[in-house]
Amino acid sequence: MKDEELLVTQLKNPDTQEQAFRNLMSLYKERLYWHIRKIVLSHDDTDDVLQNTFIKVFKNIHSFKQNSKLYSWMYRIATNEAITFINKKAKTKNLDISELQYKMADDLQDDHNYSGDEIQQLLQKAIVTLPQKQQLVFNMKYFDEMKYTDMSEVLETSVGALKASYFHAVKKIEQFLKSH
Amino acid sequence: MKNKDLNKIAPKLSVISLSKTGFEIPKNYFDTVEDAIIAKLKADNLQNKINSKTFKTPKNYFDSIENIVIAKLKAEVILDKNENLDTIPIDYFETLENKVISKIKATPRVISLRRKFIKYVAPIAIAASLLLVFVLNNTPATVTFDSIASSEIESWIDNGNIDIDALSIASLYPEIELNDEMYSNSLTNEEILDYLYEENFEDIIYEN
Repeated sequence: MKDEELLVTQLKNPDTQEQAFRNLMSLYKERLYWHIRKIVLSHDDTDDVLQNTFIKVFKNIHSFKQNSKLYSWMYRIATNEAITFINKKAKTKNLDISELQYKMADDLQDDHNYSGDEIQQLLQKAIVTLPQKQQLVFNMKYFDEMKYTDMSEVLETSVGALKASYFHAVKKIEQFLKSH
Repeated sequence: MKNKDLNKIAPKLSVISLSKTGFEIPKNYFDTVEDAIIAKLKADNLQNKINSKTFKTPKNYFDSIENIVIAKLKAEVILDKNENLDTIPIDYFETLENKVISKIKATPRVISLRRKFIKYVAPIAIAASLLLVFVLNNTPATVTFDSIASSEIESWIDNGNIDIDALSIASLYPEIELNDEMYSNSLTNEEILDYLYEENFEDIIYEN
């Protein structure tokens, strides 16, 4: 039995699930954290979304059919949780999602958990101008250097479409950087 | 897309350092996050247990709720039907006047004197017609009220064949102002009949 299959079996067994869950978090917490952080930008918001993601994984592990890899399934949950979080925040503040994201990128300069220089901050402002799906593709490829095949499983999109999406995202960001 | 391709397509983007994104995390965050998540999960489970124990439903509630709802709906439908029997159509009172007016217009005009005519004049006319039947005994044709002209009745009255009380006449025409003298016994029957003769009998009837 593979490690991942064993982990899933242990997660589904009440006697072993707490320890298995700790192992699961230990394995994926940093990768998921950085994936979420690129979407919601602030540490505090990332912490909330990460905790909700792991709780959702724990509660729904019995419905995981192992049709995809465990980490792909968890990435998908994390992505959905992060986007849902942004949508709710935008609704609460009565803002359009793109307006909120630009504000979040602009607020980075006052964030004590952010130390990026001017060009790093400009890059974040460029990313939030992209459509939601292109943002995800760019972050997962550019920062996480994820393989297209793995991205395909997480985002449930064909590899070809992902490559095209990444190419368009890069062009738009370059254009943004040149014009600012 | 490899780095050298990125240099060609996006030279400005390619020079941005990937190793230093600027995103920082609090010290020891990853050491404590697992415990924080476990604690939150246990708190959630505890809350769920409390909720599930706090709110309970009667035994078989969910088996019987459908029938209860259906029965209640049926009862409401019956109640609605009964209520509708007592209700009046919308705008009933707004349209009532017009309906009544239109019905009144459609009905043939009734002369208000009809009852009085039947009560006072008809016996006279019948008596006159009977008299004519006896007088003109030779006439084979059937005499009816319609076949007798007003002039014949007037003529019959002129000939003194009827004795009409003055008070009866006065009550027949209450709108006609009469002098006190006229109610007195000084008026003879002939004088009254003369008055009636001078007045157009038919006009008086139809005016009323």
